[in-house]
Amino acid sequence: MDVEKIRQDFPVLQKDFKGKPLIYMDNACMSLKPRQVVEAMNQYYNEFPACAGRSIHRLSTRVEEARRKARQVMQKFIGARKPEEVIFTRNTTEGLNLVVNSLGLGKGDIVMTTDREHNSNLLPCQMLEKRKGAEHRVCLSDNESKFRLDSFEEMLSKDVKLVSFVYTSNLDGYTLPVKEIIKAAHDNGSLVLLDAAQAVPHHEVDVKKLGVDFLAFSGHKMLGPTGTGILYVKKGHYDKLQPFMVGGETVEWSTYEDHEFLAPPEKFEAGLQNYAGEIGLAAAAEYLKGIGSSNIEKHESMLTKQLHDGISAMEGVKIIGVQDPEMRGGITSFSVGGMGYHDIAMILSNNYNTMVRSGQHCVHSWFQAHGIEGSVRASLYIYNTSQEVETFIDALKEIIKLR
Amino acid sequence: MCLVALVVLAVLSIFSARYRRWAREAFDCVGRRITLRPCISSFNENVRAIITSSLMKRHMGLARFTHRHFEAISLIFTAVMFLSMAYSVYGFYNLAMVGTCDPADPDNCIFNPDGDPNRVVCVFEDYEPEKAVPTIGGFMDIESATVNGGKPMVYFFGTTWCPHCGWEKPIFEEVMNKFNNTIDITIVEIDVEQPEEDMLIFNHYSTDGYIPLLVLGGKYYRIGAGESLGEDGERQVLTAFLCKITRSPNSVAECGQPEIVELIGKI
Repeated sequence: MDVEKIRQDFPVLQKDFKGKPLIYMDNACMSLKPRQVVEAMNQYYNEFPACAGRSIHRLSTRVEEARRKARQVMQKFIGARKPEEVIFTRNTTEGLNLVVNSLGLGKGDIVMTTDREHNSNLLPCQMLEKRKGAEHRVCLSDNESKFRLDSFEEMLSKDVKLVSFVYTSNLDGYTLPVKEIIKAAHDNGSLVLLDAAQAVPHHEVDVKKLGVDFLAFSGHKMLGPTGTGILYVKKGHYDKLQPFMVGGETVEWSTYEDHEFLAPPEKFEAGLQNYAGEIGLAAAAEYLKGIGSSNIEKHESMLTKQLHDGISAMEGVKIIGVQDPEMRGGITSFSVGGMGYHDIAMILSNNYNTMVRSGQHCVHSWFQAHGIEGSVRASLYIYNTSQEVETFIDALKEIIKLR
Repeated sequence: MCLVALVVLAVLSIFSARYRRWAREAFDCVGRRITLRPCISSFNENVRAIITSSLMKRHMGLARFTHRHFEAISLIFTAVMFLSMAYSVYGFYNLAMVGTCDPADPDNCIFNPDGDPNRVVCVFEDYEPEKAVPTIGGFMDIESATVNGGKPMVYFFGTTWCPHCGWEKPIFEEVMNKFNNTIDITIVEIDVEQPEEDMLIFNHYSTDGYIPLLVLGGKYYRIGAGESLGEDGERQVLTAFLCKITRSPNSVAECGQPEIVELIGKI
């Protein structure tokens, strides 16, 4: 993997600020965009900025074709059997909400999450409990913040209708043993929904091999545009879902009294879609495919280990979550005793042109449960370099001298 | 901290939109603090980080000190802000009621609501003409006095009809104009007008009402013209005094001339 060549594709990395190059380490929130994605989107806006499907003119046909291709690209990207299993959404949050709210769960049903869920997965389940009377259960991790399969299996019962877990945590990059989870859940007759927002951009996800029922992820974390995402729905499960947003482009016909839905996935894609975004998302997927998921994993693993070795040696710096860097993908969250996390992030930004996230990373529940106010999170991706990690470590060494 | 920041940011916001978001956060924080609720934004942390990061580029030790003691420094600034606000209110009150913001020492006050903002009303306790000793050019030196602070004040009191005033005034004006930006010149022809505060000075130094009266920086004065010195001599004496009370500004080349330097030494 030629990182320098990859970096040339990212216009924002060619700019510096007051003589310092940009070091971007907030990829768990949003990844940078290569020019190929921007060009693909611009092509839509410049050459065929029309509606798909609704009109029959030449431009519309072109949009429809581009959209169809984009769906195929995404289908292949996640290993789905058919393009119809891929619904375009605005983000992971929409996909998760769609499944949780459309399955018809209610009183007597149990939905389970882990103790490290992003609010986008946790809150729909909590709201389901409040509004529909379903029960929400939390499967706790062990003392090392690792998933407890035995505990999970014990918690499974016939009333557990949905297991809605994060695939790879945005807190610490830890990937759950999803194959085992899916097997145990299916043996129990439970459906599995995975929040794959942090998984799909960073390692190979093959939904066929996993056998997962539903899987949601975002485009903006995998080099794609904002406002894009995918919900994978395994063939045969569409009949379990009722669309919670309906309107234009979801129906074959309608009268004043009735309507007939289109077949999925269009049934779940109400309103004018983000055509430019979908085309850009497909361009992002092709870009990542060109690099190769194993190369991406290897690169991130190497950088995470370097980062881990550098900061774990610093006094007063505590790594949050799973300690083993081999298990953490490209994400490292840490706190510094005697210093605020926002302070660290701001000084890194102001003085070192290094962008990291600070706070509770939308996993407030985990921080509240562990009595931790917040952390700094450095999340790496394909364009980060060993030199950048070294610069980050040196910067942190300077900053902690302020204590 | 947010209270101090609110004042500063509110003023900065008038001139630049860049600070308005911060001003709104500070306002929200102040509102919450006043109602005994915690701030929901990380305003304090953000401000601390911005200041620390700026200091780090210049001096690590100072950055460390500031970061460690930020709360205490904030409290001190807040206290200083309240004290200076209180002192400002006190000053404005005095200005409105007695015409000077500091009745105890009007030299401290830069405002004069009645006239020229550079003019002050002087209090003369230290300027006792009866305790003056003779110096060059017929001038008297009030030894206990120091030249007034800020721009030295220079007065000429005369009348339109007095021939000695007529002799003295053009020479006085010629010399004073060379020191134009460094002194505060007042020429009063007391048969034409008698401004109240200027007459206080006249009556103080020329108790018998003699003219012309020259008062230089409040410390040196002469009742009478310098005719006995001749025009050139009078010019040199006046120049020497002005050089002395203005500390020989670079803008006046004469202050470096040997004859002037010699005269200054004799004052």
